[in-house]
Amino acid sequence: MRMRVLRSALVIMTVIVLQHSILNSVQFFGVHLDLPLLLVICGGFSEGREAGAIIGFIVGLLTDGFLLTPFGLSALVYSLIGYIAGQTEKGTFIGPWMINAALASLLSATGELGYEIASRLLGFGQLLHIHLVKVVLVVAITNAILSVFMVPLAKWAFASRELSSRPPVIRR
Amino acid sequence: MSSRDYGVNRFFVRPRVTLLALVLASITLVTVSYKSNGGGISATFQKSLKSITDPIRSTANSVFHPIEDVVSGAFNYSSLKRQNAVLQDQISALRNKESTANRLQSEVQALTSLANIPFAQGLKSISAIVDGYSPSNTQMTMNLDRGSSAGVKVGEPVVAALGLIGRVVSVTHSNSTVLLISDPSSSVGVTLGSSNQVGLAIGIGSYNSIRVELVDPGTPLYVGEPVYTSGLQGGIFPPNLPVGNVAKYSSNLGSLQEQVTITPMVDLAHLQFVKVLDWLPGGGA
Repeated sequence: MRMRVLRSALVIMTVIVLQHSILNSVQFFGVHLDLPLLLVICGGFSEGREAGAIIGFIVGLLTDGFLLTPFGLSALVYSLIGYIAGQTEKGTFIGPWMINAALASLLSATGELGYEIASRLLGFGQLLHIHLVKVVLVVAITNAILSVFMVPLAKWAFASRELSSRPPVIRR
Repeated sequence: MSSRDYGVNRFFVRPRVTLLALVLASITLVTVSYKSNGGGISATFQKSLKSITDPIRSTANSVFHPIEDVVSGAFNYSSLKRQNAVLQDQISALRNKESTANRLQSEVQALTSLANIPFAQGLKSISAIVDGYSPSNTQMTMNLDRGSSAGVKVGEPVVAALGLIGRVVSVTHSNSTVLLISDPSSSVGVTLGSSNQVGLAIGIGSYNSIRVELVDPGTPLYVGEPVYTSGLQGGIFPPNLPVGNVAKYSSNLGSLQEQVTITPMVDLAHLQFVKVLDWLPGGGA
């Protein structure tokens, strides 16, 4: 349990620091990568909806620490995204990487749009300007590609030994 | 157990209750943050978090800087090649101009001392190095290497050699965050050069263009016309700071305002050194 918390903290902090250091200069068509959102999605894939929501809340709070929008906005959006990602049921979607990539892409686009809508509702930003279309497309595509690496990392960071040794769920 | 009880129990399964609790916690935080207008507990948490992560981020920045250059170079290879060709042309052009420049320099120095009217005249300033831009896609900010220890305060305008960049929105002991004029949440009261018509320059999320609203239809404008801060709008910025040049304008029949787009005077995407003006909203210094 203690090791799981340590691993989770290590991965979350590394992703947040990476996002605010080296990834500062990596842009595609003027759009930054969004690793924290991808981590939340992969956390949800790996650990189910409850853990996905909790991971989303924690990563969202840390992300909010660097933004000017109202504190808690990213936590709200990321919790919901983590929960939805976890709806795929624990473990059953871990494996076919193309499905993971497609889902990560869809959820990333939903996350970016959700954040924009939420911040617009609170009077920040401008809804549906051309830059948002670029952001949604670029983040969806890059997160689909990066999910190939992020899913195993999330499994390693968040999976508990007891749960991972549980037999897989068989769907009828 | 009735079917209704079963339905209610089914709804309140643990993951949903957890999600509900987290959503309520988030909404509470958003409400508290919104009501306290960027202050209160949320601001304290943000400041503490920044104070903790700033040294890690700065260390990571210095460690990753060479890798960052390689990565940036790899992703922008074609752009770098283009830039290289442009720079080569510029070097040859500059060599030609060098001799002329030497002669003109003495004249310029004389003229400058004669008509010493820089746009930030009389204001104290703090020089700062740009520590990095926000990696977020939802806001356009940059971090400076000077904070409250150097005398930087929230609300102070930030300029580069050619004009306005933005204003300080957050300060820690050793760093500060600047909201760029290109951010969609930024609005600057401006005056259009020749006509003295006032307007509101609002960012649209692009480093290269800013929209000016509330300009009366039929206002005489021309492309390249300079735009300055008006100093109105409750004095968020001091007057007469250069903001940009008119890039295009148009007026639709029956429209209540002119459609005006300006290009920022400063290349907002590639800044290294800036100055924080010791001037606070309301006109205080």
